[in-house]
Amino acid sequence: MLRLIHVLAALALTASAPALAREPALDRPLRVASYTLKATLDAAQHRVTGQGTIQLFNYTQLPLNELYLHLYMNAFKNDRSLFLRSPFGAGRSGGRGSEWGYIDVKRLFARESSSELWALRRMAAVDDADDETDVRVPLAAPLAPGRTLTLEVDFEVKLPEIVERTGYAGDFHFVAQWFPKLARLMPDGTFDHFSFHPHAEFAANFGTYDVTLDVPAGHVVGATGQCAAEPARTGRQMLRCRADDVHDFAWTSWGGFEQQRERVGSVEVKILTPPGNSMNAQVELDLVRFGLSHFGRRFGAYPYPSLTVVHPPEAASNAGGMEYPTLITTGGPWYTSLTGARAIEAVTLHELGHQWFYGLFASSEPRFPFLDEGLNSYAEHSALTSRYGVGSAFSGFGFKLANEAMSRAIAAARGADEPIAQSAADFFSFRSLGALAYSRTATLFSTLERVYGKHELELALSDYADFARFRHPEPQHLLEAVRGRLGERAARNLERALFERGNVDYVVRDLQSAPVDPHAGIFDDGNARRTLPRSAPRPPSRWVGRAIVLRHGSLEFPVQVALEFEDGRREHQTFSGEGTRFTVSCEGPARLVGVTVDPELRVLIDDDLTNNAARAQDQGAPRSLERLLYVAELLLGGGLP
Amino acid sequence: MTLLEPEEIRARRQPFAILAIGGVRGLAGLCLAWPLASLLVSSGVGLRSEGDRALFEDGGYLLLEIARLRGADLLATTRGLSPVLCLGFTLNALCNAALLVQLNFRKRLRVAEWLSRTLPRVPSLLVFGAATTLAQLALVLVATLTAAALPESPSRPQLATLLGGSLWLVTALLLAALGGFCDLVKAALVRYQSSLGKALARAWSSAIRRPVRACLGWLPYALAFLGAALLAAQLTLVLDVSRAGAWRVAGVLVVHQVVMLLGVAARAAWYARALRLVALEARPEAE
Repeated sequence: MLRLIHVLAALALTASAPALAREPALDRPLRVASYTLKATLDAAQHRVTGQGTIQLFNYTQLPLNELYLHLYMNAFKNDRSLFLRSPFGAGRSGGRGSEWGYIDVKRLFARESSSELWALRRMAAVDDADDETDVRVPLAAPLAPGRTLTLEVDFEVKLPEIVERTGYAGDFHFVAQWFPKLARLMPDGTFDHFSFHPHAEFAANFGTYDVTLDVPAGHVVGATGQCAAEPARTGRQMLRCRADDVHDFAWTSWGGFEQQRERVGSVEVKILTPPGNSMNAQVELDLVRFGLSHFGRRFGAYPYPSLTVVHPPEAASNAGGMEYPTLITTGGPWYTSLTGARAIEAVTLHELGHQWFYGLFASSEPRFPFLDEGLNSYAEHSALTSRYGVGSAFSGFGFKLANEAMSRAIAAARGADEPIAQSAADFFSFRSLGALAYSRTATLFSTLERVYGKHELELALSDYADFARFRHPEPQHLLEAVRGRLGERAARNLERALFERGNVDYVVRDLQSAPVDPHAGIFDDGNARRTLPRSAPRPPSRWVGRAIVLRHGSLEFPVQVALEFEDGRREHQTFSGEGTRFTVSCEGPARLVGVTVDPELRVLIDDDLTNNAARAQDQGAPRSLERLLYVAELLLGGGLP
Repeated sequence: MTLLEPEEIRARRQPFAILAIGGVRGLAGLCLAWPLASLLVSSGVGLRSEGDRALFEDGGYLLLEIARLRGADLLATTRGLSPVLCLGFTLNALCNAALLVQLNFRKRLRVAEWLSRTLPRVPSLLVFGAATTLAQLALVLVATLTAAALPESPSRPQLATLLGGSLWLVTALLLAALGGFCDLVKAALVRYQSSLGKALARAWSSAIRRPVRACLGWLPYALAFLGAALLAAQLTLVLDVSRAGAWRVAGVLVVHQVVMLLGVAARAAWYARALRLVALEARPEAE
């Protein structure tokens, strides 16, 4: 029976792309890595003492002779770690923290074989002895397929001052990447292990987390899963938190939190904010209500009974903007909502979206960051647009800025410098990763939506979500979903853009228009010769016009071409996108005065929007001149007393 | 030439001077705006059927694209315009000086008359202008250091923001009060053709006697101008140049130029008030 279970599980987890449509959606994942831990926080010393058990279920068809543990906290142990060694700044925040952090594993004992394993450990990266975040542990006895290994573990963590989401600021503690964590066991019996890279996040198997937190009395705690109070000694409080079918566990403990609770559908939502942030709390709660429903309709219902939103205090802003299973962090000053910027809304929806594109789907962020960050950025933009329309990034002073427009500008600045579909560590810098994996992916999907239809893309992503839930999807599954709903050509465009640095730039050139004159000259017709005189000059009654639309790059999106005539008439032609050029030609009663390719800006991934039009006569920029004049006059008037 | 009595010094007596200064400022503004607008024209935005309306449309797709592709050129051009800006400031200062002199007289001054009254005072004006600027910079430095030293309050973030905001508001008021006092000194310099020391003494005496009027007398005019500018912003929204129609652009142009003229008029009104203050101070029967 066990054999049957693990064969079925392996099949489910290794599902190949063509099987996408046939695979039934999973209600729950295979629980491979489960943790039962107790963590005691010394808030004065910023230390966490932990002990408990880790269970690894070998669902593969091969015996395991070793395992890999991630000790992420050692990224902050010294300046030789892979995370901190770059002289150009560390991590997404660029910060290094002013105090070191580390994890000391005191004991790792295999219960089934009664063997102490920690002494046998080796650093996994043989060519990088300085980094202590990826550890290989040989097993005393092989772990047979279908069997479970129970590891007893004791460890102590020294938290750094807040850096890259984890650590402390004063008496605020955010505790993430804090326990010895099994690297993800792959279906082929290998482990997806890696050193903690400053560009990368995490990947792990699903499992059950049963964590008891021992924190100072008076602290407000937010954690992955559902927590219940347990008896505690004087001056302390104890909470037992349990989360099923997740792949990480993070928590926060601070006496300063104010909390709001609300049941949204079947989900108990808890919002933790610093004092004075009630406005932000309202925005976050509102967006969670909206987001759970919006994302749930598109990517499947949120399956967990709880969700915690943590808004860190300003001094700990580096803890903000991150996702963990059933717990997200936001951030921003108390007055953000008053400025017209939708920053709180964006970060809340983005991190909430990660409950699907990371939490439930669990694609490997280190190997293919675009699969969660990129798709999630698109989902965030789409949700913000649904909610706020065109002012999804900013709305104020009579001007509205779209999130899509900002994302497009960021993406276009990096163009196709690197492939989107590559590992986080392979990106030249985090700025490059941000522009390509986040923004360019989002822009690419916005383009698919605008070109092939919003409904069709929603269906494709819904197919992908159905398949991906609890399955650790790969890029080919996304391509398969797009192919299934949007067609082969759309999938080819997607593949080229993701893997082959595909790009596109539509250009209009050589607009010309000329009158159609009656024929004139000498014409031989059999034996007869006719001479037709030039007609006397008069206003032409018909005109011919032409222009060339060029497509540079390898992406072949169909586009509309708008023709504008002198008499105010407009006409549209369609360029299928196949071939590198399209000749616009027309004949009619008026002169062709303008041609614009993609007038509705459907192909947002177009490298350059300023070369999309040609015109007989430039219209100038009267509005810009007027506005610049006013600004200059104000400057001159206010410049001197 | 006879100086006007204090009660007679009114900005409304000088509509042509106000219009002339507005015209000069408009021309100087055009010299600054034209190269930047030309750069935008060359960006291809005028080739689209909607023209540069696209830059004002909601969403900001084309605006961000121009910023991305031509931002460096726009910045370089703006830097290149620095000498023009300096010339513009100088021209503006000369206009203000002309206004300050003209407000003392009923008859319109000829250039020679104006020069004869102004040129001898230029060294004093320069020295005092530089000293005022230095004092204002010192004030900003002190405010910056104080702002950095303000305690953070995780439990009361609004209070921290309020403290910081109040600090900068007070600093702005002090800066402007210093500017107001500077205007009083300039008024005394040009009205009485006195030395800097005497002008300072006269302004100081006026400031001591009427501190609020002397240092913050400009405030009602500044608020009136601010109100006009905000109203203009609302009208600009209503006219909405992101929609088709040359009349919209013309309408916004008129609104903005009226605001600019109101700005000149507001400054003239304050100068008239400053002159009245120093003139009253000079009267033996002054209160």
